Amino acid sequence: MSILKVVRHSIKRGVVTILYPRVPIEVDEFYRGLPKLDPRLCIGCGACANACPPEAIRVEDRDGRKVWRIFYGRCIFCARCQEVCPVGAIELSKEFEAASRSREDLVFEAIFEGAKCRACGRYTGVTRREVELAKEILSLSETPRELVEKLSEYASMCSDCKRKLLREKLAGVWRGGGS
Amino acid sequence: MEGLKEEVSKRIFEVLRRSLYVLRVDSGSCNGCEIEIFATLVPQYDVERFGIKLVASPRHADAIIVTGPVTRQFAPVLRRVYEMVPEPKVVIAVGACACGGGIWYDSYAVEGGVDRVIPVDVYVPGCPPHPAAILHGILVALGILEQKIRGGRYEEGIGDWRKPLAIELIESSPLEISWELYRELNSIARRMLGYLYGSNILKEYLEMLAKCRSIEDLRSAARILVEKHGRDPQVELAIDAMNKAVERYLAKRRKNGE
Amino acid sequence: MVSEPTIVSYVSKLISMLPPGSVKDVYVASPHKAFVEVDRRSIDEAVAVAYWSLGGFLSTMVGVDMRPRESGFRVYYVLSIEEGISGEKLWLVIWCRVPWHDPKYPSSTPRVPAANWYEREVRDLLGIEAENHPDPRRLVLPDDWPDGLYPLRNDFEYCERPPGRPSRYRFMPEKVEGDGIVQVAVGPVHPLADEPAQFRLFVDGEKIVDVDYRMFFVHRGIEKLGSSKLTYNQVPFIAERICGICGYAHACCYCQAVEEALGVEVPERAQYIRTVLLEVERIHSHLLNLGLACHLAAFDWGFMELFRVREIAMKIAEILTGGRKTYGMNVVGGVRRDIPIDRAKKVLDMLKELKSEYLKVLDAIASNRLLQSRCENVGVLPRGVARSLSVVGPVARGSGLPRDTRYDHPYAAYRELGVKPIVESGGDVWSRLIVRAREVLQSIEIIEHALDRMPLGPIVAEKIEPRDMVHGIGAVEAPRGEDVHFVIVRRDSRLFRWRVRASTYNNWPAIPYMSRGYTIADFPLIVASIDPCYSCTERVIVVDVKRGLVKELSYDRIVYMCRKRGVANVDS
Repeated sequence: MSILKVVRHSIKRGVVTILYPRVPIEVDEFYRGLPKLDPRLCIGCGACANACPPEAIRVEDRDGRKVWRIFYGRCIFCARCQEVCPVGAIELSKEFEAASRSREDLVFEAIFEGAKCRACGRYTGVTRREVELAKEILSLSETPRELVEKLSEYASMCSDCKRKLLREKLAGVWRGGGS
Repeated sequence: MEGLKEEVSKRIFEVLRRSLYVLRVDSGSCNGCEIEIFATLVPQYDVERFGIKLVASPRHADAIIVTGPVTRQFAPVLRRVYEMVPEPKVVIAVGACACGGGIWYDSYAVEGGVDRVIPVDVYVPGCPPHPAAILHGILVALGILEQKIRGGRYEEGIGDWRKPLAIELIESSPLEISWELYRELNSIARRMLGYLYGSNILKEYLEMLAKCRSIEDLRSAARILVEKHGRDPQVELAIDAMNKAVERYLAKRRKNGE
Repeated sequence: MVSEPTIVSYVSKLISMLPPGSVKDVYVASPHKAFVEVDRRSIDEAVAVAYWSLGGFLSTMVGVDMRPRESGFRVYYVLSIEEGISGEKLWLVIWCRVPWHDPKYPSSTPRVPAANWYEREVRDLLGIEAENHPDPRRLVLPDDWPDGLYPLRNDFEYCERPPGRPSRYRFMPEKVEGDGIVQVAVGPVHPLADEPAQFRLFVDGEKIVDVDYRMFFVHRGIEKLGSSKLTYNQVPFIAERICGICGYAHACCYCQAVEEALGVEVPERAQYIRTVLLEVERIHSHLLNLGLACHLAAFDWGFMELFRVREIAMKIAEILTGGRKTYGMNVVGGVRRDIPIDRAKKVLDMLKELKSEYLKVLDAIASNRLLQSRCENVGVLPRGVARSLSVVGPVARGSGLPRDTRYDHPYAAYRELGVKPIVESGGDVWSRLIVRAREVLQSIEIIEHALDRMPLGPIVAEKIEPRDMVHGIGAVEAPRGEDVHFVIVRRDSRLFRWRVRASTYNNWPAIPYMSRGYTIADFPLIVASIDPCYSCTERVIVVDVKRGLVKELSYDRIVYMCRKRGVANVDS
């Protein structure tokens, strides 16, 4: 008697199998799949690398250039990178079929030109794009125009030269000269 | 569908002369991947229709599915199990922990990924991977489906850089909004709607703002935006707060005599 | 609400029952929480008094290496005072200082059996000895970990990998004496039975006489990672992966602990969103356990149907959070994603579908008495034993103890929504299944209420002020029971100490008491009824104490025996 109930229920319900892989699986519009970088927008600031809990994203210096690198094998799909990116360069896509036969296929690298210090010519540790963006932001900010010129100058210098300049200015003030 | 199912079963049969036997090994995982492997058995995904069966003993297995980052305690057991499985054998590492050690890859108690202990044939990233992704991984391991992901490399070229959309919208706004106002609008959107819906709505708001010449324009355009989002009261609250921020900014600018 | 005098009256009662001069300091942190510092020599007396005379349950115990801030260690016992209080319960934290040159303190285990595993873990990870502990074996660290090296001490780097030492784990049958504990006579340990396995069953014929186990194959060093390399906003993601089934409860628990420590006020809307997701997790976890029970009782139709219904819950999670299992929704101070109104409506529709499908499946399972007859009167845990081991969750509620953190220490939106614990008194596997089956319906109701009444407002706190060396305790009712996290937060946004206590930790020690007197074929059902969070067992050693025989069985072989026994009992 009870077995009949069970069978009747199954027949009424019908087949529920999704015929994957012939038919694609539909996931939600905002499913957290593989993070995809738009290399044209990225400025190589490393905020995503700082936030990434398993350190799947790394941003490192290599020969005066910045290398952004993701290893999908360790990614936990948390979307912290998307959350902290200041320019919206990285977004989690809906792709989730990431099976791979080798580790190399799970790595994506993006290389950006490093900014050279306008005073000493050495690598500043930030990318050219970061400097350009900093200048853009300065020009759009409420900072007074005269200061914007000066600060934009600083943006194109390495930290050693910035410090040297600051020391000279302070020494000038101390000696009673102008700033 | 019948065609693909038959082809898969036929290929398995050709190689093995029987169904594919898969052994599940958990080398210290949190069980999330285990549950998704279980889920491939449910009626919606039904891995058994391909002639793939889960078995209990290493001696009967053709493929080993390993989850977990291989804890130090478990490493000798994993090696032993690998040696007990007869050739031909396939090792599939499922999940972020198995592929690269996951979030604990350099912890003292963990080896850091299955390939530090035994050779791996297929990696299936995910945390945990979708059951369909696991199915895809098994079929890739058997050579029946092609892998979809490829490594990549990008090198910056001259003039490649695209300015962020926010900057372009701020620059083109007739109301001359500042970067600081943008930061405040961003903070309101994030605080009210979160990183995902917040950034989407902020983008729509800035696009709308770029076309407004006055506060009246702003208010009526904002009403249309709220309508577009189904009059969600939370969205309405957020857009209201953003409007107030813009009005405060414009009032401050007028006071400073511009 | 409990007013201030009551926590003070409990503390006064404690002081009056201890030898004069044992209590060194009292700090009342809130109307429901007090920290009592006692002299090291009296800590076992203080814990025993709080446990038995004040009606407390042991929620967690923490060892902390305070160097270099202080010159030694500290040991905290966190007790939840529950008996005789009808509303919100109280936290009583009894702690003492332990000097670095003499890292010992008297063990509470002889009088409070619930403290057994905690004290062993503190010894493993910090090297602080509990004197007179009845079972001084290693608990947590791998067998080949060298002696004298303690990972949670502040002079150990989280990624150090010392070379191993050869060793053996000594299995031994349990023999615990004390108030209300049944003493069981056990046979000798057979010298051949020395291989690494996770379970050791001591049997007389088919009947189980005792059980011993080697757990913690899953020790990954979470607490060390959380207090060294991760910032406090990265920790919710590692917390979610402590357990893949009840992960979100851990993430909420951690966030609550830090929010309490830093005095962060979480906005109401975020509390409601967290509540909704916690209940979604509860639904999927209970359906999983019910399906597993059907599978072990050889009732695979029930298994498949319950898993099919569970997929609706997974889809709901996907719609709300973007992931089926790992939600990634928490940061300290609130949540990361809002619930837009169109998605809330969709979820309400799906819940209606889930409820109707679930009731149909339950009806079909109940009318065919296969599951009930297999599970009734199996694995009985008497209420007295449950009380002395401080078991939690459906295991406690199935044995008549009305413990439910949502009611005892309300958090998130439960204060407004109100939850009554579901209690059964049978104490057997069937009672626990009934508790879980009814909780699924309760959860559906809670989600519907929460989505209907969701307040408007921000979803994350605006500002978080840094503070140095502040304590926080978070407790959450995960599907398996009470999760407790204890944190000490540093000024530089990192954790000084993070102690995780998963719910199953308190339930595992009850396995031997639940298995004695039942057969090997019942064992998988009994283990599944505590709904453990553990990596699957591989081999089981069976020692026949009467005939002196040692047999090795694979766990799947025992599952096969369990299912075969089920078929023989069908009456339809």
